Amino acid sequence: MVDPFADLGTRIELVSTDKHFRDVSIALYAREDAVGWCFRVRSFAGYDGLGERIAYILDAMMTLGGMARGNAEDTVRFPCGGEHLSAVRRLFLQACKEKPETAPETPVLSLADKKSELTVTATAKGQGAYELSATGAGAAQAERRLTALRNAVVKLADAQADEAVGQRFSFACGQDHDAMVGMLLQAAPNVRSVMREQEMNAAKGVLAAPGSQE
Amino acid sequence: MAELSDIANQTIQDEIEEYLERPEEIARFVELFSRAKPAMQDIAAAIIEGDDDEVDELTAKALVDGIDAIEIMDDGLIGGMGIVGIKFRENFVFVPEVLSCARAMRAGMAHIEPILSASGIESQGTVIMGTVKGDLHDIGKNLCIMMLRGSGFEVIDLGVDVAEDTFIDAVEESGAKVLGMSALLTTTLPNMGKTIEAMIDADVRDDVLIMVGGAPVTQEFSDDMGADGYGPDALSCVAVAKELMTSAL
Amino acid sequence: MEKPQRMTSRERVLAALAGQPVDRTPVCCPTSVATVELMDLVDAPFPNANREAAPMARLAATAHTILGFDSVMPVFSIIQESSALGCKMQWEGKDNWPTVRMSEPIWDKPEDIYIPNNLLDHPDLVCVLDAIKLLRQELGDDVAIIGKTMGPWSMAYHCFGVEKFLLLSLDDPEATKEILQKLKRVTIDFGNAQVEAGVDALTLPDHATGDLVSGEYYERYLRDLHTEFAEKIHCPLILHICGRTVDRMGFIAETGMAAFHYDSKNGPAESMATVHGDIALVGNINNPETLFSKTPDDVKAEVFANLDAGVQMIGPECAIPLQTSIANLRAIPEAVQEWHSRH
Repeated sequence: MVDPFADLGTRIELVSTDKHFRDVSIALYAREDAVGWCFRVRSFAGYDGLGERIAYILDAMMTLGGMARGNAEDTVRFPCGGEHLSAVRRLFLQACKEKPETAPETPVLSLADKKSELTVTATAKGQGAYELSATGAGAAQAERRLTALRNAVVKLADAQADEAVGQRFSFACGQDHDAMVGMLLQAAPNVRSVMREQEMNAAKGVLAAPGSQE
Repeated sequence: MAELSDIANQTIQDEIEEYLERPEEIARFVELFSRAKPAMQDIAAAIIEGDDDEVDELTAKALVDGIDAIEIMDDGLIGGMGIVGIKFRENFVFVPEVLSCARAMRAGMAHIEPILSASGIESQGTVIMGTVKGDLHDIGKNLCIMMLRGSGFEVIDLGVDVAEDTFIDAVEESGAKVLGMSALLTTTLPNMGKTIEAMIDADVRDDVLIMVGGAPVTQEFSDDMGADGYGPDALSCVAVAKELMTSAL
Repeated sequence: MEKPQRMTSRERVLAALAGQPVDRTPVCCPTSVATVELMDLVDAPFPNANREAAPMARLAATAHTILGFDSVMPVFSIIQESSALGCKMQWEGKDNWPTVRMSEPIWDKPEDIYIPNNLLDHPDLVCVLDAIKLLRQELGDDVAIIGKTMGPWSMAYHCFGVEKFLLLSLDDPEATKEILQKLKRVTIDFGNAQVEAGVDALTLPDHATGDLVSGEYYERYLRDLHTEFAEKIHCPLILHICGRTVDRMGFIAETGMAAFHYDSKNGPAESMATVHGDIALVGNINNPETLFSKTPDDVKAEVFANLDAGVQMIGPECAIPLQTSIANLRAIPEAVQEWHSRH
């Protein structure tokens, strides 16, 4: 008898009841192979139509995160082969939330930031580096807010903050991830722990990096 | 410097001597009760003994005698509960005794609350409190709520078994800056994390600071869930709420 | 004593409960190991699996057939009796536990207690008895079936409300004892009905937990009752109490019950020292951190700590969160096998 748990990899995320498909549980598994990290979407339910549901989720992850089909069945991977653990979990959860009647849209690299009332844009600088900038009234004084948002994206994406430039970050894999950055940028204002730490540091008068000083 | 012998009430003296060990706590309560009026010490002693009839009577009398309501609350009621909280933390007393003391405190607060409401004293802020989905335990939550109200907070009590949407609606409708979640069961702990994630999705996470508590909750768990604060008991709940409220405003 | 030849799962569990030698330490689930993924595997979601015999048995069987445990236990929650007594119930959906609405208790004082003569005919109890029979048919004689009968302290929480009952225990000890004496009938009758249906042992949860009440309370209110249960219920009993319980394990060991299911707030070595062989221990793999959030290697470490201390049966500390991964649960019997291969 085939062991349904063989070769699955490590379960890294779970939707315990999928509201779009019969309340089934659907999980995301991660495994490293010769090419790099590979992610599998799997459910243990046995209903008709489950294959189509999983196919939708995989397609949505590709659209939302710039991922590509993996070699094995029901898998996707990042073109860079990297793990991007926090991001891929969020991608999976977001893909499961998307309404199955419509295909999700590719995320854009900009954010309408409610708190600062600015439009924040992420620009790819090549080799996996990105820089945030702001437009709108008060954009000139936006450095602290941009740094906070940058730190939030870094946390969400497991990216690396640029020590010298408060609005810059980069991926260790050295490759661009436009769709992923666009998706995570939308969630950045809500990364409360990062926002609060930034605000507390600002309130204490901690010296920011030279490039970030107002 | 105040000393134990400066405390008029013998029960309070005995309680401090027998049950308090941390020097800073001993100093704090010796200072409090040595300066508190004897009538306040008597109220505190009755709280510690869980005697709700006595607390009721003494509180009413103190008000008639012209003692300020806030002084009665701070020195008598909250002072007494402070010692109860330490005894509970150190396992000298357990939940039945704490419930009995809380009942006594409610008897006193029944006299105090109307006066505070009528006086127009500025609120410390609004806190939303609830036990997470699937969990019907509310002893700890109710104790925290009583202590929060006693400390000047307005509290919106969502009750037990609170769904994610209910927490989110409460944040949106009330504009409260602090939200407290409790859980007693290990099986329902994951619902704290799920609620926080739901708040992120609903774009309200940024609008509120979240504190968590309950017997199985730890600081590590709180940090992993993405909460802003954690308190191991009802008294620390008030301290955490104050800290979060200060940073929120 | 010579190690026995290879035993069946059932023989292993029964031997451990009787304090007899075993071929290897049994892996036991006195409380639920149901998860949403296991529900999907056998199409037995909550709430149906809590109310209908067939899905209840299907889901319970996965503890052995999928996870590799030596026992199965079909009563996932703690509310079957409370439902039968008339408590207000919330059966909930697939990924939430059924609960009793303790804010609307059905009784206020001992005189209010009413236990119908035909209590055992209530559907929420019948489905348990039927599920036990289905499991025996399905799994044969090689797997241990553990049932569950709630203790009177826990039932009193549900029927009177936790806060009210705890206050009563302080204000009126005699009334409290009267309540326990009246409710014990349910524990005994439902327990024996499950024995007749075919269980090998019973979990008896009675939540005088360390987080709520003192060890002295256990001695005062429950030790003699639990001793009576050990005499009157005709199978080995596994007492389950959550929280820090080292202060009452000595009393528990005096009751004559076969085992105590203890949680991770108590270390294996200190617990074994406290009971000094007078009762077997089952436990105590941590749920919310280890089983739910950590890795199979972390699970293994806790299993090894229990085995090193000589704990007689290994399992999760309590009902596991429904989102727990199958890999972490399978790590428990895998770790037990590995430990034994080295010792």
